[in-house]
Amino acid sequence: MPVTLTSLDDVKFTVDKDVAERSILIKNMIEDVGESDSPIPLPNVSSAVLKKVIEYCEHHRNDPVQVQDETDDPRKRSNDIEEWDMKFMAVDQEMLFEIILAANYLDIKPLLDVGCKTVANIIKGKTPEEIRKTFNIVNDFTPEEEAQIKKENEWAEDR
Amino acid sequence: MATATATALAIPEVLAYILAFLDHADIRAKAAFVCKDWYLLCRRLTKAQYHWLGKIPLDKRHLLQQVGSAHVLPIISRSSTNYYIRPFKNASAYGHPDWSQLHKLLGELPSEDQKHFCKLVAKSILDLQPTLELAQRFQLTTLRIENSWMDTISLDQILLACPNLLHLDIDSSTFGKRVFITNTEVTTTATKTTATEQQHQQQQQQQKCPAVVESCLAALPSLASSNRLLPRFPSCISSAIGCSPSSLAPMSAKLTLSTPEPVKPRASRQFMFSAGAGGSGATSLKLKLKRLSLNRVSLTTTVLDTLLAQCPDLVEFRMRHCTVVVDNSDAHQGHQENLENRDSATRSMVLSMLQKYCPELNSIHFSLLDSQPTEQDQIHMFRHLPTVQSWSIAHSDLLPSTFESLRLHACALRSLELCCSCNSLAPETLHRYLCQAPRLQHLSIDNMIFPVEYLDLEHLSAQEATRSSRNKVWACRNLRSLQIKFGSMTGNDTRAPKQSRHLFAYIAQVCPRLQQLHITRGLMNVQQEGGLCYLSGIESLERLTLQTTHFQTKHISDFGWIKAGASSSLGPPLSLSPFSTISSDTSATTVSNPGTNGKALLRLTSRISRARKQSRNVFGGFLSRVTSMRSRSSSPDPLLEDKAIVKRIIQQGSEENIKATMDRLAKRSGVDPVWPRLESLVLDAVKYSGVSPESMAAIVAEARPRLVFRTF
Repeated sequence: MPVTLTSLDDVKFTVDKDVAERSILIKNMIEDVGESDSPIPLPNVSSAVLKKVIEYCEHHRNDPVQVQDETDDPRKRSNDIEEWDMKFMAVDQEMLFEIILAANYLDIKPLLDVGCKTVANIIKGKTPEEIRKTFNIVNDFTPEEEAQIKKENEWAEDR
Repeated sequence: MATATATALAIPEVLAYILAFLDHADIRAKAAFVCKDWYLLCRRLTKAQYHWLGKIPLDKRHLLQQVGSAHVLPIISRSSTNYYIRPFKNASAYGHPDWSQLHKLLGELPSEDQKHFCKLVAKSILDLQPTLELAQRFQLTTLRIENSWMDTISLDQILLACPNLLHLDIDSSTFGKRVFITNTEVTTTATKTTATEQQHQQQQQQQKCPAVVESCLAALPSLASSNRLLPRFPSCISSAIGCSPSSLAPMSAKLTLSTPEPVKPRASRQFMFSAGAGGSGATSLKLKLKRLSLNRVSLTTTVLDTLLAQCPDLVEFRMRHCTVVVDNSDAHQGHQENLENRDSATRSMVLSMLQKYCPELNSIHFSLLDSQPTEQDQIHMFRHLPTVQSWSIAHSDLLPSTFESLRLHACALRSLELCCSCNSLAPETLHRYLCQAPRLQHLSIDNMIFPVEYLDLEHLSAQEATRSSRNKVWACRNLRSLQIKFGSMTGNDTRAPKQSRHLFAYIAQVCPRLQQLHITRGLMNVQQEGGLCYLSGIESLERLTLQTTHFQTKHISDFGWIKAGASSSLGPPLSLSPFSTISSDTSATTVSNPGTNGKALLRLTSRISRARKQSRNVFGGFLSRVTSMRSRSSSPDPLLEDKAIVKRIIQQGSEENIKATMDRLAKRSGVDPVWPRLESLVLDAVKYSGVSPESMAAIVAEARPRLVFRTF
């Protein structure tokens, strides 16, 4: 059964239910409201982003549901982005964060994972100043505070 | 409109999720330095490591550099835009797995390298025992206990565990708590108490003492098991388990913990030092302590007496906002009539102790909580310690007579620090003092706004300037470091260019040998006509910090003069070594002027020597400066010198003089760099107008690539 999703800019997307239900948010909404022909409004997601999200969900429609393991250390999985996902995430930075925001909002953990991994890979190898420039972040440390952190790090153990 | 990047990174959960994909090294070394929000999240992600922080490299080659201290740090928190550290009150420090991990890793170090682990900073700890266990294992020389949540800290235990301690610092000021040392224990309470309550608490503390002794006894097996402690302090252990002083073995170790004889109902419960000077009859330990700092603690005179008696090598004593309880009522019965007399007696007792026990004392801060000294107290203090060169005075202790007393009685004074909270005392007295303090070399003033009007000499006619310059111009020509905050007495806009010129000209002329200068000013005009370029005259400057809310420039070129003299081939800062670049004809001058003027002269002549080698036609300017310096250095009359300085300051107040200065700076290009020894230039401002901090950074980076340049 198809489900209709309406984006922020009022563009309608019709997708299969199992594709839509990759989003826990939509899945819960369908369960709560019951099956209906009414479009599901997604006021936080633009059509361009929703299109990308649907593309991702369609590609991964047959993936097993990811069981969250609280003890799982994400650092062990930081470099395991599939090739298709890597190409999928080869977008400009704004779109990348739009996708992350949408994944967060729609509660699509695999998409959030791959988005955050991509950002983490961008951060890796960069100096703090380069990170600031990349993400347009203002340095709000005083020299004393920065020295304090350096002092802390001086004795931090590498694990 | 916020971008998706900014929006996403502003959601802590999303940011934390992203950062969680980084490894610990990236989190600590890179992500944590991006901004405060990131830092806080990074701390949360790595908090397990930050209960203790100790890089314990098992590679011996890195040991000397990396094992020197361990920090026990709290989890931090944050309120609005303020950044501060707060302990995690519910966490149990002792028994935390990280302690055992730290012990384990330290234990894996080769034994000959373990001795390099000598410094421990314990912040917000809940239990001293893990710290002491570390201290027992290693030869700690520095111990700082900060913001402790513990109810009691036993100094006995600390000193017993750290016999080689050089620096001891107990600081509980951050959370506005009162910390009490009753007998040898530090007790934290959240409320202010009166002296009566302190005595009551003291009694209560004494009643707790059996338990304390018990805990000490319980710790004895661990002490005994320590290979280091047992052979050194058999007497400590034997006395701790109740032996009388007379039964102490005649060993070299002399620190004793005992119940004094004869046993009195109250005294019998005291857990205290028993040193010879303390009157208990036991032998005293000569501690190696060089620096003792107690911040917002309360302790008894007996404890202090005993402690100081064991610190003959003490060089620095800082007792800031402390309470000293006179616990020998018989000896001071006559002083208990009123609070003022009691405080004066207490001050007198502490000073007598310092004078008696600490002949090496050179630096002191001594302020009592909620008690201002009288004029006589201060005179007594300065007279009692005539050899102390570094005085730190709390603003709350400043009296109208303080500076005059300093001038008359603190003859050895070279370094003056005014610190702690604000005081309404007019800074005029400070200004008058500075006009009569030629020997002062270091001045640091926190929280006092010094009116720029005092530096404005333009209203003086030439005759007045000659007559009254002694009271208008600071006499501290040898000032090496200055930290000061300027404001306006009349509330005028301190950005006015003329006022700004006066300020910079005054400092440059009056303190020509500054090495470190930190100026804080509400609004700072650094436009060309503001006269910042006058600071270029301070050739010895190594660190310059300008701190303001509003850094005002018109154009980037206003700051361009900093490039004067810089060249891409500029090597290390110009050497001052008299053996490398100086020509033979200047050596004699240097020898004849061994003072600072001679050094400055040496620097100038060395530049001449270089300029000659470079065949540049710039001798005229240099030679005139050398001549000027020679005449300055040989000027025997300070009054004449003052008059010349006043004249120059007034001259530099005019806008025309700025242009002449800029022209001179331009001529120095490629030959004579501005601030050849400058290592750090910090511009700390909330708002920049006229030019962006990035542009400034670019200018500085181009001119002085090795300079540490920071903007915020």
